[in-house]
Amino acid sequence: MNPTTLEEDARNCTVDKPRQGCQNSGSSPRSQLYTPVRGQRLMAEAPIPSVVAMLICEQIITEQATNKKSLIGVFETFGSLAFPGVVNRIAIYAKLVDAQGKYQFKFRFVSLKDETLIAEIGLEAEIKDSAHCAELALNVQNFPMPEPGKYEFQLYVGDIYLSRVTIEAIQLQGGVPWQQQHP
Amino acid sequence: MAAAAPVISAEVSAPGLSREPVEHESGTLPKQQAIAPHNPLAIPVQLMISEVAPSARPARLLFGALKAPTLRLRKPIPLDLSIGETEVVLTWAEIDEFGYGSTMGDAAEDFSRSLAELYCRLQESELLGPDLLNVKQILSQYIETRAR
Repeated sequence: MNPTTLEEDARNCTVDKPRQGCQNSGSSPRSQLYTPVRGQRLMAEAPIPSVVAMLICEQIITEQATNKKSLIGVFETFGSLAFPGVVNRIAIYAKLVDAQGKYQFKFRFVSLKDETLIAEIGLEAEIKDSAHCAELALNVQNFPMPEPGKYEFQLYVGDIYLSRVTIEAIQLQGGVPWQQQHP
Repeated sequence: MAAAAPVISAEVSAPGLSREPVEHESGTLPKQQAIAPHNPLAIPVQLMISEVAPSARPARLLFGALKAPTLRLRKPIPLDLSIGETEVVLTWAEIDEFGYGSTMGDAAEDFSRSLAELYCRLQESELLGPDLLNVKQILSQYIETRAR
């Protein structure tokens, strides 16, 4: 693996004061999960988040004042005239419950042809209140797509497998469909 | 492979808030603000692209993908991953429960369904033999019913 830090913000993001809970939020935080040292919670002791939604789209826009997310262009098939190709814009949205504390999330991009690892995206996040949902929004430009076939984005927290979402890459023939002449 | 270098950013936040428009604002656009130089929701993110694609199947998988709205995991379940002729099999040796599918993700989904069903059935049953009582006890170390 060839690590490349492409954009790094040194500040960890924390969830602002939650404004609105979700109906299927989890149980209240359990005090025994906190470590006694400075009240910090280590990832190993943090509760396992549950993924209630995971979607792929072209772009996720967050309205800064309200935290509302707009998922633009939800898709599950990527078409290209040539491979290896590049997905100009791809975004992953994940909604989590039961998460509280500092987490190392990983999105692993896996080819389902032979279940090989194509790419891995690591995120570090702190989620403050498990009584509310947390939302992960990942925007990527120029994402590599090696060949036609089925792929998965698998979400891990540390080494714990949480969820997946599938995407298919297809080879387009003779131009994009809306440019083809119809008799 | 890719000519242009990937560009990546990530955020984590609380869910959004939808609110009713304030009446006196309805006829005018909200006050516009300049784009903030730093996104306050941004989190550190790193992308690694494999030069030689390694297998994404671990020999042991820590399972945290229980897809049952009424249940939650207290701790991850250690599963052994084995490859059959055409299938991937995930096995929880401690209670001899397994899930299978054409990929690891399919096997994990199958395991999740089996596990949730087993847990619920054992919770409902009162007359259990010693073996099933032991399974029930082990399951309750890993799974709990979600508080409403």
